[in-house]
Amino acid sequence: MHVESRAFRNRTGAYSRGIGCQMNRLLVLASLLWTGISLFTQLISAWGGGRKTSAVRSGDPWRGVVYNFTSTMLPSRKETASHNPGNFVAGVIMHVGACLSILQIVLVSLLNHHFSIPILFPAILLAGMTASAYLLLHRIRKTDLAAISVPDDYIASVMTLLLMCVAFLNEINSISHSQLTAFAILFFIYFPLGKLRHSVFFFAARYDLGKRLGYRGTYPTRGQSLSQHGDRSDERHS
Amino acid sequence: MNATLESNNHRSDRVKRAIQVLSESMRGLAAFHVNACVRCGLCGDICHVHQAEPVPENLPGAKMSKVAAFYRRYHTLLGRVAPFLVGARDITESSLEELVEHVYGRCTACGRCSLHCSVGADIASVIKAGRNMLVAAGLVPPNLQAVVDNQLTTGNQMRITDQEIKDTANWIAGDLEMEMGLGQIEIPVDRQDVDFLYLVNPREIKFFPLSLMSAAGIFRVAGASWTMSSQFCDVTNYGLFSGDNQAAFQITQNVLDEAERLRVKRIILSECGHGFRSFRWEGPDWRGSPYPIEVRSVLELLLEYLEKGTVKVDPTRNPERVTLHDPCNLVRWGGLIEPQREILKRCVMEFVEMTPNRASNFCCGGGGGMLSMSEYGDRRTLSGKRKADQIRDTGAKIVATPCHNCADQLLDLTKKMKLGVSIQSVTELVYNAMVVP
Repeated sequence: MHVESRAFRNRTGAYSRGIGCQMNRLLVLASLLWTGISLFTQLISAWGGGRKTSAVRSGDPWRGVVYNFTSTMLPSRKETASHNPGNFVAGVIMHVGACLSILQIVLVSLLNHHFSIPILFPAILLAGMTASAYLLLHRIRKTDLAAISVPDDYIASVMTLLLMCVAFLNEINSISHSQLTAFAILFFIYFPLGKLRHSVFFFAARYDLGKRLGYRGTYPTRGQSLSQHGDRSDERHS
Repeated sequence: MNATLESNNHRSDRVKRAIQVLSESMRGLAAFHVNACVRCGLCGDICHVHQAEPVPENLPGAKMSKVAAFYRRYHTLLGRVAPFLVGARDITESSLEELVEHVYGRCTACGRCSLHCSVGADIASVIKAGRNMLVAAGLVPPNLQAVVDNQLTTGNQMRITDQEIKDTANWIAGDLEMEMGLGQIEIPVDRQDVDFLYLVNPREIKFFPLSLMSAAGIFRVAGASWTMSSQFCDVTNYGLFSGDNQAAFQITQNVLDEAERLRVKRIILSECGHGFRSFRWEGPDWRGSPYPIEVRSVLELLLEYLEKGTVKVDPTRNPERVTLHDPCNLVRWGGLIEPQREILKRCVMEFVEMTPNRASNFCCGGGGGMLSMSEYGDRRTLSGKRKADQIRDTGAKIVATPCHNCADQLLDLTKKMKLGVSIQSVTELVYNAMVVP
């Protein structure tokens, strides 16, 4: 597989240098710092010293944490995934695309370095954009979902879609360095303010619940079956 | 005018208390989960309330959002400066009153959504934080609050007097003597220096004595040294349901003090889902220190009897197909998952699992204090439909449930949805199968 790693060149094929570029880089760095510090502060504030339990434990909290980050995330254990395979697959693709986009944008805007695997990266980003658009449309069209959505949900969805668009345009060399950095700054400023922060709290939440249920002996579970329509019981002992 | 001023001051205090308690309840637990939620809306499929009544208000994520809206208003930057963007709301008298239905009337805090959430957000813990806040605001549904008050003032939720407890113990013991033919049998009350204090659901004393009678019969055969208490006999703790941690702590502490007075070595909890969770897991945290005494479920004790051969059973005495309902607070939140299965496999001829089961079970619809809130009675029955379907699918004639709260709801469902099953406790099935020496 051919891996492309080179200094970023903009649409005209010129390398991005100069005072304007340095300033952009500083601004990206500042927005990244804002994101990092803000998320860290929020995490610490939410943690609030944590909660210590005085109950005698029944299980292994760390096994619970591992279990909650592995098996429980699979459709075989998670009904939100098994009952909604389309959304599950779209969600996974979107997140892969978003992570790749963030990596690309940080590398280009901050280090002025372009790293790619031709065909594969653009394909992932295209798939990510499609998945992201699908999920956004799903939110708009589904009555239940629209009823519980707030403006932040749409902003976050649009931002994520744009993020992948920007990364894709960068892949095909169709965006200028200043446009890319301008978006990066905007994205990283908004990142810790709205629901995009779930990218950090997702780990905190899974850790917390996994540890608690592991401590109590609920996790890891065995023998549970997912609910399906019209199913029959699958375990008999006689 | 004075009255208006007084009312405004009162209102302001109530809101202030709610803001303070929300902040305390969220920190270190629920705040992680509020911030993890992406409002994907996929949780509807996994909630028994939403399945029965699929309206947006019944989406677990929507219920959580009601509490999260307050959190965001006071604890996030966008919530403070542009609340409309993140759906943040001020805590006011009316917004608190509105919350009551969402966290008490539309949710049993069973936690099934927490386990199946697409991102892993513990929705039930956020609902619980909402209930904590409403306790501070004095907005607990009156019937639920009455049960908590009963427990605090009389030592049990049904206001049973010590004389009633002693009388019931005596007549149950009399019936047991006749049935078992083992000579004199006693159900000890307030006896000191015995092995364990047995806590029961007051329902066992007042309406369904078969469960207590079965336990007493088994203890007799096992040669157990035990007692009940005439003062604090109650295994339940409605403070857990209402969200009143202070009351829940007091209820737990009363029992611990009673155990100390009776100088027992351990406390055995009768079959009760939330009672087990309260005493086993939440109690030490409400106290802020470990118990000085061992606390176990009667299910663990029964399994120990069966494994050691202290009690022998003949499964042919329970020939009908039996299925098991997993109480949410016992299994999902309590981690007590296998003992009841091990017991049933030894005591019945045919044991069939429901699907789904164990930690992924469906709530019967009667949890979270729902049984005591008559204002939500219709929704409670409706939300039991999924459980009723599960029971029907097993083709079982007996539903064993190690929880008296669930048993009440299942009895109700059996009647209203014509399930044609009998609801029994695990202890009753062990007693049926027990070989009297």
